[in-house]
Amino acid sequence: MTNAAVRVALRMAAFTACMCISGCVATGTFNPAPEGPGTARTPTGESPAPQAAMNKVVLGKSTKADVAAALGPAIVVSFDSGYEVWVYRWRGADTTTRAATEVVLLFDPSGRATKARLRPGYETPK
Amino acid sequence: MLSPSNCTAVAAQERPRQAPQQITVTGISRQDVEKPYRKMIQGIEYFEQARAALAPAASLRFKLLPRKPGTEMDHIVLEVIGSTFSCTVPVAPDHTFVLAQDVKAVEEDAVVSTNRKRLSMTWRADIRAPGLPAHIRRLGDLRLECEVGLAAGLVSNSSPVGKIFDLFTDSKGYCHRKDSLYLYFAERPIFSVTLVAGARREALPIDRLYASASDDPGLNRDLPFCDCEMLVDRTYFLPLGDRSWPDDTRVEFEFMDDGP
Repeated sequence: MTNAAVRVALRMAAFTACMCISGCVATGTFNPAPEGPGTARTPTGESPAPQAAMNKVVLGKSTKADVAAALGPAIVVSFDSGYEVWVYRWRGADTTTRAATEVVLLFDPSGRATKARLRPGYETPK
Repeated sequence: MLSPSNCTAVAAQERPRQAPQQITVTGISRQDVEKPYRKMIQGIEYFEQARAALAPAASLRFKLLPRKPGTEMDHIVLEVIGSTFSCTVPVAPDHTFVLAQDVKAVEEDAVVSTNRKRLSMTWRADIRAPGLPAHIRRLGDLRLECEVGLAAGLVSNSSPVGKIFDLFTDSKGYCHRKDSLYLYFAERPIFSVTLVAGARREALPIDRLYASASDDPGLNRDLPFCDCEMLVDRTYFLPLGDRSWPDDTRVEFEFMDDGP
């Protein structure tokens, strides 16, 4: 493959990525796998209600390890700033993310939870 | 009109013939962050047409945003460069600017250029109704930002096959789709975004924040090609085409660094 051809291939990859960022991701649905990250589980294997999961977190005190031990692995979004957002999700009336209930936690760069919110699911318009 | 005091005729910069020649090439694409002047004027004209319906009280500015790590955002020199002149455009401390309409710049197919390397920054329309607190935007203003942004060709993709991409995005209709993924950037890293219309409140799901990082395991790989690369923690999508949310809907932000 010539350099030009390589360049074209890379550029096509870039194009595909751009298309995906603008048009493929965020389909608005998710796979609520019972054992996957983001499904809250207590150490005894129970599935806590969203508010009960929120109650496990003490702002300014709970660490990532504390929360992982209490609720299991979260969906983690890490930022270059050192902040992390952790998400636990409960399926709603359908598999859309709009219908899902979410507990969202913010960890500051020191690793302690500084914010938490419970987002209720919303009915998906017919 | 572009302010004459900020403009320099290229002819006035020419050196005497006996001096060593230095050639300044203007009016063509360079390796700087730049946009076609005509295209940006199309965005302004679109704003003037559409503002009455979507954002009657708002004004339009353009905004420069960092795209690559280490991009120096202070002391940006922004110029409109034609084939016979160049004009400096003042950039405000918040990196916004107003672009004046100028017949000569249109005739010379000028470029709007910065003194930063290509792909180091990106651009957006900044349309705001007056009087709103810093943590609240108006949905109609943001809807119009999308349409003006596409009309002005502001979204910077690293794809050289952008012409095809433009066919996809260079349609204001994209902003009317319920699933549109126009990338918005808040002023600071966001913790939540909530739509409020009267008594109705709805927080956006997590996959509408952070460029869908929660649901896109390939995002890190794709980020270098996205103009959100440096702004993921400020990025959000809106249900632009969902007309059950009126234009007067308030878009409320809670920022990561707000108090608990």
